[in-house]
Amino acid sequence: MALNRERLHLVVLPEDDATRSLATGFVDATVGQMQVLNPAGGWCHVLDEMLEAQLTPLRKYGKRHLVLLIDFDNDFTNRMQDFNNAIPVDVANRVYVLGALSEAEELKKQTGIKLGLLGQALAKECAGNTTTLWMHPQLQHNQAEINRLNQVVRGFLF
Amino acid sequence: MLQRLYVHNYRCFEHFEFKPQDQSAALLLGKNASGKSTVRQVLALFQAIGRGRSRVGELITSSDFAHYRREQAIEFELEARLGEQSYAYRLVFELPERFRELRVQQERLVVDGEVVFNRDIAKVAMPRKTKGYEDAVFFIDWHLVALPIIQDAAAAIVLRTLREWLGAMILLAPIPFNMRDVAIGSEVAIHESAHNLPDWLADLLERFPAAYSGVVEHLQQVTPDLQGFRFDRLGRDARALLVLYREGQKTLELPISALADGEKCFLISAVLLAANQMTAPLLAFWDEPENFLAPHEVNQFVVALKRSFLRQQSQLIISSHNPQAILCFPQDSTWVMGRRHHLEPSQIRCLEELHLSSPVTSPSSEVATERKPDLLQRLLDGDIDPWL
Repeated sequence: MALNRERLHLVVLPEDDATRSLATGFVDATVGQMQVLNPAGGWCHVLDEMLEAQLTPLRKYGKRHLVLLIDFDNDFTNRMQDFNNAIPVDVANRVYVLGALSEAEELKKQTGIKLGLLGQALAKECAGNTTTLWMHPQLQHNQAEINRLNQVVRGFLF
Repeated sequence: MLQRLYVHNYRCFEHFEFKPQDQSAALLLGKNASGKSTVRQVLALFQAIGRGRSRVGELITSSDFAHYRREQAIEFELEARLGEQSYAYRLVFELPERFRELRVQQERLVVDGEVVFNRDIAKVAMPRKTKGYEDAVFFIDWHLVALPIIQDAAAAIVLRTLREWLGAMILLAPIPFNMRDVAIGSEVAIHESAHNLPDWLADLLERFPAAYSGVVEHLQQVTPDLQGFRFDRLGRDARALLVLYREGQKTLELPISALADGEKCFLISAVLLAANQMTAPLLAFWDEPENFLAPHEVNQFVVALKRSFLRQQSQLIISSHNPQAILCFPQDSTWVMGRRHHLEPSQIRCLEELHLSSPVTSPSSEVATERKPDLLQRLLDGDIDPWL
């Protein structure tokens, strides 16, 4: 029942409990191997946690993919740059940085949908190859990362 | 789906209201003695009514009054959405002076806003919508709950739907050590302790033989060397449940008493998943499902249950103290229960409303190094109920 690390699997490192809620909802609407980790406690701690604790398993297990789920706090370009600069090149193709443009709570407020249900809806869009919710102003900046992630997870997650 | 549960003056509950609404999964969180298992006991009362138990003395006793406050009535209300219809069932018990057994004070079933029956002590009224027909009024023993015994052609479908849904609830607080090896066919619904799992499995397979592959498939995810299982007839009614393992050319057949406690819990979950697939929509409550499991198994164990219940439009409620299980639930489907001491009633709040884990400062690059408090740390610190 535990994740089989020798097979393709997706791990999500959320920033806080709000982003964790989004991720757990997403997991519910998938069928493949996926696990949400304990929130790091802030976007910069996501980066620290990735470099300190997640790099070793990423390098050990070649079929592991890691989503860093953060709030961009309306600073998408700079924050993406920070992450891209910090993520080691040898695992960069298996690490994805996603999140709401401001914060997950704001996405919930604007859509009027609870975070768990939002996560489910986002997963269903991925499975059905639709992008209505993913094109929401709080989420549309994720398109490039989602396209990159979708190519990998489509085969085992949905 | 269970939309709302209201309980008053029962054990540790006073004006207790739990509203999972349309959530396919909900987590009850709280310290010991916060009332999580009492939710299961309330559901067990409704389950017993759904299965036909009507005698009040078999459902509730005078020791169930909160703090022995016998002068007040015990109230139960359950709202559920079954199919396209909304059901609201209310049941009130009282213990008048010189009574030894509680009696029904009120009982009412409303479906989509229309009263199906309304009861005041012994008098039951069933309104008739058809012109020319008078309302049906009759009397039943005040020590009997009406729902299991009312037979009425006009309301047959809604009465049967509610009774079947209540009766089909699966309530679990397994004690693997007590699990029997043998199906004896005397009781086919799973008991809370899961001691009669072979009976439950045998009944499920008799009704839905296709469930076999689902059970085996799920178990093989945990124990890849599991080949299958079978029932071995021991006598006229008894059948022993045997599990077959294979590694290369070697095989081994074991009675389930030989399995580890954790393996028995996987067996319970495999049968629950199969039952959910075959008989959905279900309402299941599992008290601390992580008990007996290795820590690395818990997360995906809970995820598998949640996925199945979402897919089948069923509803799963679990209580847990385990970090890996807790991480599986969004804030909006996590309910925190608590009370300051035994003389106070239990309270319940949705985690989403408590903002326990919201940032203490606004997120900006200047304060970004400050670690936000997280739910699990608060649990470890015993600090999840500062709202009490």
